[in-house]
Amino acid sequence: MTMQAGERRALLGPNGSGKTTLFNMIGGQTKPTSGKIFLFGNNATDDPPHRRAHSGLSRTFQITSLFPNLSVVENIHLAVMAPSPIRYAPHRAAESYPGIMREVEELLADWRFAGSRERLVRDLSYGDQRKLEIAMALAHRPRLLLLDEPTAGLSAAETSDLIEVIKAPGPEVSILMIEHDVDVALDVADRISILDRGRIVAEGTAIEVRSNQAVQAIYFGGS
Amino acid sequence: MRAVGAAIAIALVVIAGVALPPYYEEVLVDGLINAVFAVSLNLLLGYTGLPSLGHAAYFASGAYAAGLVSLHVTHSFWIGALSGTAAGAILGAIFGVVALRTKGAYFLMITLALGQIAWAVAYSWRDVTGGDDGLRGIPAPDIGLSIVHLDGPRLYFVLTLIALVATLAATRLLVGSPFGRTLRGIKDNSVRMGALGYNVWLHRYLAFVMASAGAGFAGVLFVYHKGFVSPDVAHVVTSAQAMLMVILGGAGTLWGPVAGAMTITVLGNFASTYTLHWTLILGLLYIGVVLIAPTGIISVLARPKGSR
Repeated sequence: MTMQAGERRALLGPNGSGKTTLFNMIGGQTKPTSGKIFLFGNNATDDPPHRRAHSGLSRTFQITSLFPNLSVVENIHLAVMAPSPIRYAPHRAAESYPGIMREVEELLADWRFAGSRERLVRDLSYGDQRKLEIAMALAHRPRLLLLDEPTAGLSAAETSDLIEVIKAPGPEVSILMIEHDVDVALDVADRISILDRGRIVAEGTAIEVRSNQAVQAIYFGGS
Repeated sequence: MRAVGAAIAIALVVIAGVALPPYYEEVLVDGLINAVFAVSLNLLLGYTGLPSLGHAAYFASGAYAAGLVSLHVTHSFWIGALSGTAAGAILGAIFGVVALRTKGAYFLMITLALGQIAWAVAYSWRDVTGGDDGLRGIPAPDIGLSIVHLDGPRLYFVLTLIALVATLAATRLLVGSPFGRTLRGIKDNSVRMGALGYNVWLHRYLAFVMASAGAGFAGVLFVYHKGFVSPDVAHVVTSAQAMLMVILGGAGTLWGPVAGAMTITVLGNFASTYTLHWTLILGLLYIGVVLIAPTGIISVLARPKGSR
């Protein structure tokens, strides 16, 4: 599977087809048994997750992965510090870096978390947690953003809010999104890849994929 | 509020040290040294989320190094302290590479095994460590002020108190620093930290080495206090007792390990005069803490604002 810079791609497929596994291989959380991962032209197959993050990869997880026992501002602070060498500094207060703190305040304001900055993440609503995870994923301006079922479990209103958030970044960010909600996928994506039992069985624009017989068989049963 | 509480605690200890007879002062110094040791373990256990059951290895490393320096090289406290702290750090740097290949319960077991290796080396390397006889007759250290000699228990009490305060100040600075924040993030969700771009292994390793250096420093204070060191200081029982001190007092808090160390040291000394079953009492105390206040004494006393 190949993506172009600036593309918005949706990855669809039935449960168990391997979508999250693919994400874990792109992200580096899992090692592939065969094949290679290339990120931005470089072979990243043996790179640990943190090195991939530094080359411009960012992701959310199927089950929201934040710091539940830390506050919202502390969560954002960790996301903002991640690309900076100051993350190793043992001798100064974390709040004493004005550039970092300014970025944290901007993110809190932009994503409308200023009011709940001191709340522990585990006390946030599910929808707010999903939103925070995306905010943190976008914090260090990634080149490729992986979104694993970003709208899962959200109400209709929360879903349309989140879609606006996902559509907001410009072409400097490429987005690969796993979605079960086909309408969301079609709204956000330029191209769609369909995964079934670990293989890409179809790829193309929405219209091309819809009329693909193999895809129809997967979703609606064989003849 | 916290600063006032800390000042009161220190003042109480100073008053106790000055007003009580020498035997009690000895116990207090034991408590202060255990507090430094527990604070170093807390960096690993409480802040980074790494449960080490072999932290005594680095304590012993520091004690033996300082003891050997004092017997064969110089009586200078500063050189002995530097040697002991470095010895702890170096052993931590070596053992850490092995230990950090594991996580969770496996980390617990590996650190236990490494600690027992340290104990075995101390026990059998007679030429250097004196074997099961240990090192004896270690002279009082010279802190380089001509009017002050640390052979008086009163003065050593002041030294260990200052050492504890300095250790706490350094820990507080570290925990509030960017590096300290990353440790807390790693404890809460290490996968997320990796995905954000943090080299989780490296941060854990650095914390391991720092904690080992702190334990080495505590070992230095110990050997100058007792004038003697034996392989027991590297044993798993010493490591386990330190872990209990951290948990009883409150892992992940600044003062928790101090409270836990003072409580267990003082209780242990008094209980031992009345009963042979101090370790039984310690076990029951630990069970009580886990059932009633699993976050430790300090967390119960200083209920955080917000969720409860």
